[in-house]
Amino acid sequence: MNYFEIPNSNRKYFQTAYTTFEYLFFTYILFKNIKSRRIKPYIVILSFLFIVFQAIYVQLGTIIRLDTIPIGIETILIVFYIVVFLSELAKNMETSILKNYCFWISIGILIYLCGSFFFYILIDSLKRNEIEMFGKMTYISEIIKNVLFGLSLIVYSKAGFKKEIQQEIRPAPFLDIT
Amino acid sequence: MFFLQSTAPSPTIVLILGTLCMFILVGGIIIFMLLHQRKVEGHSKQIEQMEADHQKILLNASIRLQEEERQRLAADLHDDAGPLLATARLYLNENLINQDKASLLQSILQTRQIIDETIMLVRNISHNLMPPTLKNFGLESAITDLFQKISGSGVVNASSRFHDYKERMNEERELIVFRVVQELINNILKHSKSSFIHLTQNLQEEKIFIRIHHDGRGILQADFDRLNKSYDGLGLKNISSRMRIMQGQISFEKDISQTYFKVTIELPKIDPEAARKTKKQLA
Repeated sequence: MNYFEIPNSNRKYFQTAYTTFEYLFFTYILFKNIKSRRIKPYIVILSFLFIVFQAIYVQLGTIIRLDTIPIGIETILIVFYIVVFLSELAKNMETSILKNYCFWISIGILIYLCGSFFFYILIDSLKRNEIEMFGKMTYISEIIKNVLFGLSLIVYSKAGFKKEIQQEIRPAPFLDIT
Repeated sequence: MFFLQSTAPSPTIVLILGTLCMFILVGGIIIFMLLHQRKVEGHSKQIEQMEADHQKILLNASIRLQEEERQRLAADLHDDAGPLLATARLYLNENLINQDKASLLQSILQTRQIIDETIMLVRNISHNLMPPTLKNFGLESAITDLFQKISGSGVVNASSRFHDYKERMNEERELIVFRVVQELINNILKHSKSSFIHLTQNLQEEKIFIRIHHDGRGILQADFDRLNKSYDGLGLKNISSRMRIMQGQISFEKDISQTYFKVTIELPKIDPEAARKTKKQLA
């Protein structure tokens, strides 16, 4: 079925589902790779709030061309998670970041979201010919994202999954003084 | 007034400028990450270099110590055993048969005494190389013996207590631990001016802990690390390299009450090298 064959009244459900799925997919990848136990609960809470917001928005919100507000919120949240992930990566660079598959994924997501953020936010204010022109330009960031995702797959298959063995810190026993 | 009068920028300009800014931001993040990576790599290379230098110092120290040990052995043999044997030979010269019976008996007795002294000397040298108590009765007995000898001097009160040492380590590992303890005790006696030394041994989670407390002047971990990296402190470097062989750790600190100095030796109960070989054989 073609997207444009969907009646206008039902398009918002489709768009909301797409944005939610996209958010959950990106968040899941980043959540799996963020190690900080302090940050992870915040991601869960923010994701829950986002889904609640989406449920309310799809019922009460009015969509002209695209669900600009959810896309904006999604972008801000994902960029925040990426910044958290990259800062974690910068703190712990035991191996080359270029060999980290999630680095390429996060950069791909970042380029994709940053390349389309303003376009989706301003889409309701743009003329039809501008939408067509800038819409095509967002394909560039999407292609870069796909290339980087492909690269991450190659990196992942080469490196494999190395589980870090955490060394247990054992306390020294009490030694008496006789 | 100008800002109030000016019209809002068109969405197209906002879109272009905004997207441009976003790409600059992404580029900035990527460049920062790559530069940071390079910086970290440089730093780890520097650490590796320092580690290699440190290994070199340790190796030199170990060679120097070996040479000193050989020189001491040579000196003991040359200066003590040599003259004694030469004297014995003098008593056993060709004129011995021409001497009267009394003088002959006297010469033989003298020679026997000298040979006894030489035997004693050689035994002492060999005991210095491998204490017989350690070989026959193990680390606990050897350390207890050492501490009893120190206490016997009446200057320092030395005591030891082994809590969990039912199973002996292999001979080689026991000797290394004994040498480390000996070196530490030697340093304490030489520099600390302490009135007591107490050694305790414990076992916890497959690790042997040997802790030495004393009430004199001591060194802390920072001093140990500093001396270990410098060209001084041959004994400490030797301790360090011995601990590496054992895959153990040594730490210098003050006890909880901040009154006494404490040296903790931490060793794996099972020899990692032997365990590795057994695993390899089984595989």
